[in-house]
Amino acid sequence: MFPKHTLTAALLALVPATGALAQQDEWTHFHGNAMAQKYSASDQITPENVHELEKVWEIHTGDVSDGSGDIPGTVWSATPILANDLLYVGTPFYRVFAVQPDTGEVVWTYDPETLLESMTQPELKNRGVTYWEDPEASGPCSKRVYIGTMDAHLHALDADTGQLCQDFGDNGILNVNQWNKPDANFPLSQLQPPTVFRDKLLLGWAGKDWYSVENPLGSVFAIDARTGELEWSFYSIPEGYEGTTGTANVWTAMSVDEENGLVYLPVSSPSADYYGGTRLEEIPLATSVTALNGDTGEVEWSRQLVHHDIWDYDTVSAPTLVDIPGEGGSTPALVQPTKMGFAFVLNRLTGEPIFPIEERDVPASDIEGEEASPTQPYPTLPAPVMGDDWDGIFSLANIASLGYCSRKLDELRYDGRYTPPSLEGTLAFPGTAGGMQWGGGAVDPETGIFYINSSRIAQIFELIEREEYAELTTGGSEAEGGLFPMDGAPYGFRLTTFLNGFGMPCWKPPYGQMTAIDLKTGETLWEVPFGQVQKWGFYMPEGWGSPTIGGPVVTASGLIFIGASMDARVRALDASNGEVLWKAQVEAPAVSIPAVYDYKGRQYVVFAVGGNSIIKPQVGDQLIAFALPED
Amino acid sequence: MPAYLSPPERAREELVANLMAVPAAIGLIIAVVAFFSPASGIEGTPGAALAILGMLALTVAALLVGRIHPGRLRTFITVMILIGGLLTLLCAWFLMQGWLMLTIVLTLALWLIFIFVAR
Repeated sequence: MFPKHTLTAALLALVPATGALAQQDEWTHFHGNAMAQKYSASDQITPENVHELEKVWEIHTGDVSDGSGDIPGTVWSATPILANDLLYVGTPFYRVFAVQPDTGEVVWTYDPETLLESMTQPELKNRGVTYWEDPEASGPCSKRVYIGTMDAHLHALDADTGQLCQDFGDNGILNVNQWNKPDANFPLSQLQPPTVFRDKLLLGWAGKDWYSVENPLGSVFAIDARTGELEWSFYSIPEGYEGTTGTANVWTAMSVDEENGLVYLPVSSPSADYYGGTRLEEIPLATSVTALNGDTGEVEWSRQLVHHDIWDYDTVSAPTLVDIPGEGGSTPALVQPTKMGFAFVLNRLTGEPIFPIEERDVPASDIEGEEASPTQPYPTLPAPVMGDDWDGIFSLANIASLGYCSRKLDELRYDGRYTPPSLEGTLAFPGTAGGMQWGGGAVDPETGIFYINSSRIAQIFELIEREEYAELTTGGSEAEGGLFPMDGAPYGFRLTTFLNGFGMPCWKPPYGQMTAIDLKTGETLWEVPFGQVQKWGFYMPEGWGSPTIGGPVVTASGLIFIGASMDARVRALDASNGEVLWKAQVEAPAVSIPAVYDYKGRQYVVFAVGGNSIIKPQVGDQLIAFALPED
Repeated sequence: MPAYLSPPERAREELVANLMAVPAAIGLIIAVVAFFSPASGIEGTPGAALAILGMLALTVAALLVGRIHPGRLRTFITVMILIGGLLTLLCAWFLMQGWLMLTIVLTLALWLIFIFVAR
């Protein structure tokens, strides 16, 4: 008889194999697979024939708002999920659509009839649904689709019919806010679909952390996928910090190493976002990538990526897990993209760096009560996607504004990376918009090459004395580049993008790019401007690139599919050099990760086209599929 | 004093001017469609509105110029067609509207012919 753990290991060893097979046909996770690789083994569409791609179907969900009426504006960042012979997608009104993968015909829809109000985020936001199959059951609700809402409810649906699964939560709906602190100032919004770990769902949440110092402490809840019962919970901030800080939550996707039983959490920054004087003690798990035992929630290892974060440099995306191929065998790695433009490459079993990480001296704060960390982690490889010095004043914008850009720069504090926020205003490059964003990167596990889009955004971080702040209009949001109260701190905060009076960036292009990194060596293989900036409808030169939100998918045939750009186009790039081989106009910026799948012998690329006011005030509700002509 | 034109000369000028208005009018339609089409990439933008304005002005000017006797006013309108056409062409280039650019190029080509046939 085999020892139990040997048998378990043998069974677990089958998991990646079946996962690899599943990749051939399906797109079952937010990032394609549980390891957040965004890799499709499909190879029907190639660099040679990709120019023949054509639209094969589209639907409009109707769930869209530009914010001009009673309903807040919408942000749609959903990855469509292909499973159970259906394509599932959630909408910013938190409805679920199940459609035929090859025709777009709607099979069923589900409406949670939830409040369409901006309780936490300024806009209605959704990143899609989660799919889970119960290996021990058959019949109704043995296959489930989950959708979360901004008011912190999770709905479990039968994947075949869209009916609520009555055995989950309260007649199919779980109130996640039951685990919030009673006097919390916001609900635990379920905008990111849960992450599946075996028969558990891992729930992070989004909040309103920019508003005040005191917030709910960051947490992740593991619940039974069948019943919704709490299995374990994880808190990123130790007890005793209540009243002085909060959040350090996980608002984006997580990744899972089923074989080793580990889940990886991208943990965000603590509050207040831009002032840390109320939280001078170390919070080691904040702004980190943290590995938990998926069965127990115990911390296996954690690596802090920003010490004493006062820049809102949330760890923004699920780390990509990959076994880096090498002569002596593969290395179990993870790649953690960051807003700072670094990609941290770590051994995912131990958290130890694969390429050395140095602690480098960084500028001190000149704000009373603040104590910025004297050093910050700096990976020596791969090279950051934006250099250590900012790109400098853009002459065209400076001339057009009669010297405004250079005059403004003279007023600002800038001492390089990690210059703390200041009263006169600090030039932050990258700003809180990144660098890399929540879409994360894609990896080809065969070659060990990692592809990622990024933005190059210069912002101004300005602390404002409380008395002065009180005289200003309160409210605002990151999206609007507005005012952040940071109630409970001695300062309010103003975040602006460094633009001239015409809305032109005051810093040199490019404003967005695509980068390929060889994980075997840490070398950057290529880096090209990506997308096009658009203002008043006018397209700026391709060399300027575009800020990006969303993520890429790489295919076995050597293509990268991505929307993400400001110009409302979706593109296919040659993975060998970044050259654009195909592009198509869609109805708004596709700020999502596409789904790439085979269905009945045909490869499809599907984009949710919804827009995001952070890059452009243009919204949409278009779900659009492309494929090669059938002949 | 306005120059005298024989009826055949006037008819020829008017014909070329009317022909000039055809691609301009087609361009106007293209610009209007782009302004209202969600998948044009420029839907509802000030740039698209500017293109509509430019094409409308070109169309009207093309129709007018063939109907006006030679003189300062016609010279002024003729020069304005060139300037307006070039500016609208630049606008269409930045809007990445290839078909619109083609109609403007045709309009300007016919403008050149008009210059040769007009006195």
